[in-house]
Order: sequence, then C-alpha cells, then structure tokens
Amino acid sequence: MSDTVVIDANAPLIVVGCGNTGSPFAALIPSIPGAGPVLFVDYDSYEAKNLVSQRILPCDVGKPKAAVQARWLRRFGVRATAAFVGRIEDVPWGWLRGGILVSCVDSRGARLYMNQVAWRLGLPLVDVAVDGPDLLARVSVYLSGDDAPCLECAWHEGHYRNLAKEYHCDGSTAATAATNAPSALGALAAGLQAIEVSALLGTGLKAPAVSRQAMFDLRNQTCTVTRFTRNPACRFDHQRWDIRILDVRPEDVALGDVFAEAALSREPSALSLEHRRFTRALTCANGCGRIAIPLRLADRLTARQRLCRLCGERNIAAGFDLVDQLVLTELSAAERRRSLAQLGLRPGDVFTVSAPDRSPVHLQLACNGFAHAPWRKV
Amino acid sequence: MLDYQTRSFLERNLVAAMELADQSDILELKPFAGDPVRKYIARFHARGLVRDPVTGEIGEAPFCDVGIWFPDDYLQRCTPFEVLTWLCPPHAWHPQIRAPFICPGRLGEGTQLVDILYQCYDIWTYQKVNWGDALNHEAAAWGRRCLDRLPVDKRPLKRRRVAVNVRAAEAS
Repeated sequence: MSDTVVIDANAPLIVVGCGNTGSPFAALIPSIPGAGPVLFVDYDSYEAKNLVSQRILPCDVGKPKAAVQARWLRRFGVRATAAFVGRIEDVPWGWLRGGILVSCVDSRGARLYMNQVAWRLGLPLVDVAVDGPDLLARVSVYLSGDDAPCLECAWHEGHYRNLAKEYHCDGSTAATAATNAPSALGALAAGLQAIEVSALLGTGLKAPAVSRQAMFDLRNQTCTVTRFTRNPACRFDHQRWDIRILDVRPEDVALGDVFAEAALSREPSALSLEHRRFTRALTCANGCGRIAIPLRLADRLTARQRLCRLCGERNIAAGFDLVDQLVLTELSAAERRRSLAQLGLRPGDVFTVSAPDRSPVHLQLACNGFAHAPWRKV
Repeated sequence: MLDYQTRSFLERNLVAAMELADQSDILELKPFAGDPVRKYIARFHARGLVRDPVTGEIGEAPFCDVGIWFPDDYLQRCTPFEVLTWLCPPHAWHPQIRAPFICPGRLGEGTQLVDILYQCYDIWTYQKVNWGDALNHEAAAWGRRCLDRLPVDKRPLKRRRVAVNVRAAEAS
C-alpha cells in the first residue's frame, strides 16, 4: 500500500505543536522539496525553560509558539506560512483539507482528535512522540483506506484510562505533563518526521512507511519496526467522509435551509458537528443561576455569553442543557430561521445532516483556506 | 449517527445498569426514550445533606436525582460536566456538588454507567469526598469541621439478597 500513496505536490503542511519536536521540524521544512504552504498550530507561548530543549532564541520567550515558528520560516521564503494561536480542535476543517497533518504534540487527546480528523478528511497523518527519560523516539504514518489501521487501532483500555484528564472541580484540567526530552531527541524525531513527509510528497529517498511505526531506543541503541493492522474492536468507526462544499457564507444561510440543501428536509433529519454540542442555556459556575440563550454551539459562545453578567465568572452549559444534534422536528420556527453564523458556525466548518435509513450528507462551508489565518486565536 | 461500537456500549450499559437498579433498594433508574438509550435520570433513595437557602441550616434530604447523558463521542472524549447534571435537590450541600454541576474528579472516556452510578451515590452520601479540590468551598470547610456526622448514609448501593421465609411460630 505504501508504494501507491499519491499526495499532491505542494500539499499544505499542518504542523500541530511547536515544542520539542515541532520547533526543530520547522527548521527542516525549507529543505523538504515540494513543501507547500505551512500552517503552525499551537495555543501555547514559549517560556524561559524551553530555551534548553526547543529551537528558539531568548527573544522568543513570552511569544506565541506558532507565530514564532511561522515568522522564522518566512525568512526562508517558504510561501504562505501562517500561524493559528489556538488548539487544533478550534481550526476549521476546511483549512486542513488536502494537507498533510504533522503531529508534534505531547497530548494524547490532541493526537486522538487529529487521527479522527485525518481519517474523515482523508489526510495523511505523520505522528511522532518522544520519551525523554527512556530516550525513545518514534514515528508512524497513517493513511485512511479500506482495511488500513488508524492510530486508535493500537490503543487498549489503558490508553483511554490515561487519556482521562484530571478535572479539577473549578472546571480547569490538569496540564499535560512535559516530555522533559532533550533537544537532541526532539531533533531526531523531527528528522524522522521530515523524511516521512518528504516521502509522502514523493520527493524523498524512500516510500512512506504507511501503517508502520519505527521506534528508536537510544539508550540500548536499537530500532524496532512495528506494522499495524486494522483492529475490528477499535473504538473509531473508520468512516472517510465525502464532503460537499456549500458555497455560502454562514451569515447567508438559515438553519432550516440547510436541511433542504442536503435534500434531507424530510422529518426527522438532524444536523450535527463532530465533537461539538449545541445549547440553549448556560449556568454560572459561581452559582448565580441559569440563563436561557438562543440556540448556539456551546464552545462558540459570544463574548457576552461567556461570562456571568452578575459576577463575571464563566458560564457553562450543563449536561442536560446540551444536545449533540439538532433534530428538525424539535426546532422552533424562530430557530429554523437563525443563520449558521448565529449558531456559531464559521467559514470552513464541516457539518453533517443525517436522517434515519439515509446516508448522511457532509457539507463544508466555503473558506479561503488558511492563507488569511489570524495571528491570534479566532 | 452512532457507530456500532458506541451503540453496543450503550446497549450493554443499559442492561448492566438496570440489573443494578433491580438489585438495589436505593437506586431507581429511569432511562429516557431512545434507541439506544443515551439519557438517564438516577434517583438515589439515600440520605444526603442540603442547606436551607433562607436559614442556612444544614439538614438531611431523603433522596437525590442525577441526570446522565452519553454524547455521541463518549468513547473518545468525556467531560464530567457534560455527562453528569445535578438535578435535585438544588441546594445539595457537598464539596463536589453545586447544582447543576457535580464533579466526580476523574471520569474516563467510556466509563461504564454502573461505575458512574456508584460514584454519584458515594458522593451524595459522603462516602467519597475530595476535601482539597472543591466545587463548593463552604461545604468543604463545613465538612472538615463536622467529620463526626459523615458519611450521612453508610448503606452500600447494592445489597446481598437474603431469602427469608417468615412463618408463624407454632404455639408450644
């Protein structure tokens, strides 16, 4: 299978994570022949402690990681380099289509999300990980296919147990533990990743190692290659989506019209966005009370909705106030008239309209890609 | 759109949780309509604490209701505030409860409904308390001072069934 991989030359590189592995990988991009536009995604900023383990300068401390790497790459004339200062979960899927996902994150949750997005959109995923104390570096390449394995296929209960974040009662979550990897280990992982990206673009010295993992154990100076196979008990459904572009701005289309556009205006059809929920009510985390709001995505609240008007504390949608799909028959006439923008959808978002006994229809709102990516989180 | 894995997970959970409810004189579980069932209301007929909003007095309540919802992607991502909703009593007095939020601490992706029910029961009856990391700091401070009153209800959620044949004693 690895010999038949064909990726568009100049496919955009989506580099997620600009730390121990991501920052040295950025340095290798100018030397990857055919590397197209690059989007860096990272929500974090550099700290002084990163100076010893990441490829940055003292003047970069305090600056957003994604912006620092994008600015650095522009000096080498890599065209259309952009930065998204936010989480990968916030990037509209339309920006990612046709690209290569380069995962340089140390969070299992983000890795899981990228695996699912890569599969849905049919993107290659090049994943690396390092283990500082044991001096391990590994690289794996995944590509969606009929019987191809995904990242989750190799996961077992223990992986999911470790994935469970420690939720503090104030609603915050424990930060991902730092990898504590030396910069040389990160650079090794980045080098392996650059070779695989090069191979995917057809400009490398070898075929990409799809569905394989190469693990380098530097303490014992060994290399282990593992071939993955599809796990029938995998928790992921391995559905690759056929996505149709809806050439409208979210402001210009009403929720009710979307069902007609998808030719699923029969009742009871439903609209959903993967991993996102809708809400009609919010509750102050400080106990001031519950307020009703017009129907909206729970993670795309307006600035006014985000904070309690009485105490300034965060507003949260409680579980029973959330729905993960909007069923046409349960929507009021006023809600059907609301535009997708009023629901919180943005250009590039992908949503699904489904009805019982019918194939779901996946639609993407038109967008200009990430050429105009903001330097701050949108 | 539920995939096969999630559907079978939800179906298995319904069976296991209803079995637990059958074996418990404390738990009453109401599944919402749906195929498969994704929403439940669990009523625990056990004593817990409430604070009178007017007088501020701490008293006991005979039962509580918790809402449980399994989103489409529950097997892959899980946020406790989304899965659990504290419904009743609204003025529950516990460090991990501030209606409608209940904070079980650690709730992993794909945690079984039965385990969730045990966690909620332990919280309501004060059999499980995290004094250090509280949603309701006042309740945590109060609880640390009144440890002698806790746990409020010591009964286990599931009790062994004992077959007892009661017969009238013969007069001797």
